[in-house]
Amino acid sequence: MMEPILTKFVSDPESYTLKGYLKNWGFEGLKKALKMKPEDIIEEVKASGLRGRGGAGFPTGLKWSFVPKDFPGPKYIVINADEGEPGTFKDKVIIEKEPFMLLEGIAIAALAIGAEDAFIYIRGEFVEGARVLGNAIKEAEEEGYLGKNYLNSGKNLYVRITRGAGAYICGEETGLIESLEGKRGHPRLRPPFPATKGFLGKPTVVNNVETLSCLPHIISKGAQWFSSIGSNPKNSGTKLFPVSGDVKKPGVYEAPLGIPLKQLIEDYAGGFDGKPRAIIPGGVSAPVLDERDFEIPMDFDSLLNAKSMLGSGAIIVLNEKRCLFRSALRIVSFFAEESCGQCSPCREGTRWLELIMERIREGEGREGDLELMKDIASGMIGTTICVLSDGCAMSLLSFIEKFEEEFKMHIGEGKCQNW
Amino acid sequence: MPKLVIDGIQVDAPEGLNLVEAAKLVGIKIPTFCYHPALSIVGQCRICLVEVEGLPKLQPGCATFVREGMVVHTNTERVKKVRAQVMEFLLINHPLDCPICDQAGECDLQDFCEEYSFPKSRFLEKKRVYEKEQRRAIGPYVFQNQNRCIHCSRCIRFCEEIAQTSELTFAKRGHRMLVDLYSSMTLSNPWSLCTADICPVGALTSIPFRFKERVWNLERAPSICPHCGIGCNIYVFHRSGKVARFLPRLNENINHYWLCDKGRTSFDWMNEPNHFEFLVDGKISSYKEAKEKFKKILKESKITVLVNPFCSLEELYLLKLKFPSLYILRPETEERRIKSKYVWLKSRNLAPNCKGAESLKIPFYNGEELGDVFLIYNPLIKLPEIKGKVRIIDTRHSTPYDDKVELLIPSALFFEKEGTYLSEYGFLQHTPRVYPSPLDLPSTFDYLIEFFKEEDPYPFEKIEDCFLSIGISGGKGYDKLPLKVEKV
Repeated sequence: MMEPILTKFVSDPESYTLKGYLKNWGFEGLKKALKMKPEDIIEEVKASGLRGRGGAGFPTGLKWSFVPKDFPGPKYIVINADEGEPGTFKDKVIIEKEPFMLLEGIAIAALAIGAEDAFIYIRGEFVEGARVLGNAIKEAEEEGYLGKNYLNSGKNLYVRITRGAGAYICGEETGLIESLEGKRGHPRLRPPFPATKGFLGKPTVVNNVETLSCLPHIISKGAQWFSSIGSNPKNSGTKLFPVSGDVKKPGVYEAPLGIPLKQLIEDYAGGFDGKPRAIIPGGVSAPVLDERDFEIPMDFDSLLNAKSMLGSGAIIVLNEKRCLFRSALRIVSFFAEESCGQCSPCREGTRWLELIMERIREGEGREGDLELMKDIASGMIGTTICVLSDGCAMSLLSFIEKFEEEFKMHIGEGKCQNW
Repeated sequence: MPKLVIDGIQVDAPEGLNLVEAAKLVGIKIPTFCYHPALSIVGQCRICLVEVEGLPKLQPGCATFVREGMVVHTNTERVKKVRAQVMEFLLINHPLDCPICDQAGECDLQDFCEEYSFPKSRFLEKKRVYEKEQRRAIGPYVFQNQNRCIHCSRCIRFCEEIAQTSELTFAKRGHRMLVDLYSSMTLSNPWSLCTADICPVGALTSIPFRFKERVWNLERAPSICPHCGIGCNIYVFHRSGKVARFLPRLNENINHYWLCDKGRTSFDWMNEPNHFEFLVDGKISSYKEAKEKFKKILKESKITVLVNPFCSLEELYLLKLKFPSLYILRPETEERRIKSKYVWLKSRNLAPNCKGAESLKIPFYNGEELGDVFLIYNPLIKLPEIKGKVRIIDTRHSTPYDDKVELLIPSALFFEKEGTYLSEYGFLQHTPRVYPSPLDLPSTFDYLIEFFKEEDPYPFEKIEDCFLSIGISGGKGYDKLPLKVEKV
């Protein structure tokens, strides 16, 4: 097992204080970044191969490079701390245990794109996280690590916290920006992308908490070092994997990208609890894996090749005692509940699927239901503004494809061996 | 101008045009629900998805803009399938109560259903039913049936962007999302019925119009709204010589796609005339007898004419030619506003032709001593005290003078005759006759021509000749005046 990077000091009781952070890390990355040109920071991050840890896995440096350099007005950096994907609880650890690492990362990103204002959009339920982070910002400002002319650099950085109100869709970057502006969390049409027209219509970069927390280490130890970790330069660094479900030791584990799924569970999460039958590898939007893929390297490209995705890295293990039809229904219900409602296929499709599956659950399944569900789901992929509807449809389709017999039993007999 | 290809047809489209509009240029229809040319683009109904070569996903035609070399397909199997799926999504929770829905016959959902849908419903579950929002008046003029709503948000955007009063919003989310009023508000902006106009389904309907008529029984004719000096362009929907409703008719310079509530609901006077017969000394008489009486009165005394600003330019001009003593009655006043494509227009005069009278230099009546009076009446004008004896009256409605006058002429009403009106912003607008007057009653113009035919005829034969001799249009005839007819 390699030494963790982001979570190296989380068990230090002082890790969340400025004193603890200075002792453990000491703002080395930010101090180095202050001596670099913005383009060099972007190049360094590009060279590191860092990809977004929030779900989509988009290269971070590339995202930054879309921000117009000579824009005559404010640019913003928005931190996505809405962590809403079911199964995901990794950013929470950073926010509560290493808030200064996040702040340092924010400062480095702000230098790269030339922003003076940063907005942390934090999940409403993270009451403790918001408190810790609020104190950290206050402390950092008082000690001159943030705010006006921080570290005597001649630069300013103001970080503010906005708490969400519990909508999953506000974790989608444009839905988040709308919510931050005080509107309903409806994802926006793209183009324009936030990099050119984001918060308040100004160029905006939205980055995930974990992504930003990698930056101090990339800058202080170098892109070369970072990209040497992981399966290859395009899937580099470590990743926080929140593991839940039927494992002996659920929790958040940091491992290099590309670690085989089974090894991750066995070496870190205490092994499987019971015989695993299905594993969701990246939050419930990610199509489910069956035993053929349990050895898969946990990185962005390997999972894409397996027609799933790394997403947020949230692993949910379902063992042979679980009714997978019920699991799929639970996921569909979640999306039906959380659809923002603006696009017709998502608003109506998620609920329709839920209604059909609820009817099947009650033993009222009909011949043709499976085909109908597949066809409804096909109309929900690639037809909407954001990918919530795709997530619902692709997740359900993967359950149907891999565990069709179980669905057929429910439709035919109203139950399966586990229900 | 970018050149692109849509369904194999080369299109030269101006920069900034979206695919829906670009396709329209070459006669290709891309269906839309949420898109409205005068509102912001939200791209959320997804019915306009089309294929753009080089892009893996289907693109919304309303939110995709023309680019040089773009190749677009609007009718592939893939597009048709997705359209049918989107239609299905919109229909599963729609009550399909067309037989009792006021929108039936002019409903986009109904029309597109025939064109693009799967032939049969596959939805076996219970339809969504909203609770208190199911059926309710949300303002003085607009009735909401939330069950029929397809969540296109046109009404919300109208209130935000055009009326700028923001009464409406989406509330809740996902499949429970609904169009709701902000608390303590009602949909009572002066243009609230525009929300019913632009509602593509029967979710918002007009309280004054609902359940009165089936739209397919109505005839439609272009005209202008006579209820203020702006001269908004309208379609009059009518049946058997009665007005059923006004809808806005597109004119970018005047009312764009809009029409105010007061203007469009003030037409009752046209449907409730009281007089249908010529009365000579209180007795029902013929047109011929009326003509003789008219000539006799004119011979006996010097007559002053009191005309009203609902008369057309042609009528005012005729009167001016024959009656040296001519005054115009003041209209009622109240501010009316409408948003054109570019600016807000407003008028305080609740009559269509004050500007026309002004251009003919007809003075307002300010209580002068008049002697013998020929009154041309309109029920929307409050009569001042007339200092003089009303001997002739032109009216279809009851007046205090009905029993006292020697001659009563029931003339054609606003939509029963053609005429030209000058709006307060200088738009000269000719309106054709919408429907014939009952019993072929003559218009003021017609009977004046007839009455002066023998001794001292007017120097023109047709109404258009009269219009040309006013000299206000720079020699342009009726066919050159902008009466643009387009589907709203």
